[in-house]
Amino acid sequence: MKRSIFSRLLPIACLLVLALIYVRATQSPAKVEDYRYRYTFLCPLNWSNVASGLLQADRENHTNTKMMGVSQMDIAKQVKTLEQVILSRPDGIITAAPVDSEGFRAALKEAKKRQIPVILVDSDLPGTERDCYVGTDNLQNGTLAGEQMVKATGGKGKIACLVSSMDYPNQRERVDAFEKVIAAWPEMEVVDILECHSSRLEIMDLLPSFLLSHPEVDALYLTEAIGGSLVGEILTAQFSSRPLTIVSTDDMASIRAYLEKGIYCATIAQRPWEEGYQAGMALTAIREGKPVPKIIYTGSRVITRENLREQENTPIEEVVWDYY
Amino acid sequence: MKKAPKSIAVMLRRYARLFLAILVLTTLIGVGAYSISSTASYQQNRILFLINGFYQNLQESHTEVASDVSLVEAVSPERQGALRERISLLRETLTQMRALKISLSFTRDVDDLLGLLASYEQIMEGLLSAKGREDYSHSSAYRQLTDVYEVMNGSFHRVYGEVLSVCEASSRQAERYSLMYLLAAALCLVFFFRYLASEMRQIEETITQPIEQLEEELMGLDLNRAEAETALLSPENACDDIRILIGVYNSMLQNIKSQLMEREANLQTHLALQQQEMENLQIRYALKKSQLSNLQSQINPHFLFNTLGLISQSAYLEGDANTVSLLQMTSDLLRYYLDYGDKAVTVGKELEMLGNYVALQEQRFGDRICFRFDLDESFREVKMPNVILQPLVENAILHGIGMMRSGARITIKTQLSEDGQMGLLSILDNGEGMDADTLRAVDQTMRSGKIVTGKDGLSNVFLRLSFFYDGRADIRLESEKGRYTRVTVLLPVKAEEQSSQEKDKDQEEQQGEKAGEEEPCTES
Repeated sequence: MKRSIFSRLLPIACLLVLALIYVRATQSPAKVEDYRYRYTFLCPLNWSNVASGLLQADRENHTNTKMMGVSQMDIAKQVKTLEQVILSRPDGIITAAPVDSEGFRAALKEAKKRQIPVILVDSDLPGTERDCYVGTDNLQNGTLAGEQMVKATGGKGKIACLVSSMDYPNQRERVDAFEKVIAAWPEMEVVDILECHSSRLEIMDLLPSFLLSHPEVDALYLTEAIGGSLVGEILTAQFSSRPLTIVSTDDMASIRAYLEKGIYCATIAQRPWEEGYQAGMALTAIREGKPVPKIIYTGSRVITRENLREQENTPIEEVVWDYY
Repeated sequence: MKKAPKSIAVMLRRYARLFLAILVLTTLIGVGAYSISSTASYQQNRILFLINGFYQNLQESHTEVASDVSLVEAVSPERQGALRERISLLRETLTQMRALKISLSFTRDVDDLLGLLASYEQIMEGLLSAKGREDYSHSSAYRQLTDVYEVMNGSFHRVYGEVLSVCEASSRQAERYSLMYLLAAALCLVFFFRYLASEMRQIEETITQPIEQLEEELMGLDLNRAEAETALLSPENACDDIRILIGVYNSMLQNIKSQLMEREANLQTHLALQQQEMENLQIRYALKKSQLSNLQSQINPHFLFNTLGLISQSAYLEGDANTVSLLQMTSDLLRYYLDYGDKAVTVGKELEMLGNYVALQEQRFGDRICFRFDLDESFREVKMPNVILQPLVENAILHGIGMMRSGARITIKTQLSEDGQMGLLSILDNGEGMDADTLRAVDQTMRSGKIVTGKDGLSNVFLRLSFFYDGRADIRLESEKGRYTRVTVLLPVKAEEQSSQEKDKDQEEQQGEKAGEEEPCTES
């Protein structure tokens, strides 16, 4: 009797499974969720941290942010791309102001005309029609850097600054703030400011020869990430015997490594994920008509060898970058 | 354990239904598999069609727009309408593409394209309406138009690639589903085929095998030897219909066997009965013989013969030749009776002695009775018991002729039957005869073997004949009241080899007989 029931149930079960598989197979695929707002994030390099923050904001607000990268650090190209992005009439644009250029301002005006809210991250362009700036307070950055440099050098040192370009407002602000701090220390002075335009090759060209030709320089302030990641390499390779106090900017694995090794003494880290997140939230708030402050500072952190272990838990996600 | 199904019809119907079900199932499975694979490809084809259409249209539209706005003269309203239509067609296509919701990034791209299209449209409208206006920078607008077009056109690779990757993913999924589907289907079919196989097995066990067994039994059945074949078929495995057949076969077999046994028993009984009858005959004959020997013991034959001789001598001395011959005949007869006690004689010898008897009777009856002999010479040598014909002739004289004053005729005839197997000796008298009832009674009495003293001549003859010939001889009685009576003795005739001596001796005797027997009778 048992055997009979079992052997009867089994084919019926099989048939059911078959029907099930058929239904599943012929089901039209699950409809893709629609989004409320369509944003575009345009950044000069592939800032995955910022993008990750934006993705989290997307998830919370049911919005979609397209991550657009510009393949080269070309201002003109960046501006052109921004214009094209504006032409695609998104619900919001997040971008970083690279440098004070006319084209950029014109583009921002155009966006305003079309009523597209624009949020700038990382570097601001005050006096423009941007709706919000989300990023670090560069003055604070520079101040913190100056304090760390004073602490590290004990109030004495010949400092060289390695910047991307002094045309960039954020770089300028940092350097200004830095200089302001060390101005209180007569034994400390900024000897020179090197512009590397965030190019590794340029750094590799400039720095060694500079250091060789300026033996009195015993401290470096690196205001942007590329320099931060490369300088340590160069020093390890060529100037390992030269005592240098280095304060860097930004948080990267290589910078952390140099902190660990003691090549760098401190780095002023931004909070890029936070920037992205706040930018996304702000954009949605603007779209929804809520009041949004014009400036949102996402703060800076000082990372030294001691507090290396304390990490901010910001998940970096896989971002797919589009290019025009 | 499954219960055995009731009948052949039910089982075959079940089998057919199962088979049909399998057929239907297989068809449905095939249809299902087809539809699974075609669903995916239909989707894919639709989207690819739309995409290709869009970009194709875009290129053509832009070419038209570009050429139109480059002209010096203003664009005609119809032309404008046509261009606008193209734009709205493009928008329509994009909307359809969006509606398919292939993936999130695809939808996003389409939305961006819609935005770009809107910008394109705006610029185009500006160019169309601003013909001839001097405050309008045609060249920068045209450049912008071209830029937007380039961006839109350039998105083809990305969008197409996006769709292809989604399509590929869905294809792979469809493949996976197809595989699972086919595996499940195969498993299902396996189960169903197992069912079919078990039904087949059942049919085999309960229908085919029993029928084959039955067939075998029937083929090998030898009705004459049925008692040896006691194998009855066992109906356990068969289904009901076959069970009936087997039951019939079994009972038939039993019937035949019992009938054969009956027949055998009958045969045995019959043989036993024959045996018993033979014994009876023997007993009667022994009784008769003892009676005869009794008689013989009472008479001293030698005294009789001597006395007859004496009388003969005296007659001879008196010169009475007739008396002498009569006495001779009597003496011969007497010797015949007494000497040939129970010996076999030839037919010839019997006829010779019958001649003596007849002569004596003629002497007595004179012209009252006429004796005739009609003899077939071919079976004179056949052996028969003695004193057979004489009692019959005596009967004929006593009962047949009886009171006839004259014209009585007795014919003694010997004849070989047509097929040469039997010899007939008949005594015909034209006496008073018997009616049918009497005839039957006489016949019955004759055969019954009852010995009624004084009237036992016929019975005696019949008994001795039966005994001598082992029942193969017979006596036939024919009669018609007032006309005639015929008594025919039927003997089995065997072609015997005879010695030449005997033949010569018989031939002599025959010639003597012939001369003596062919006496003309006065016809009456």
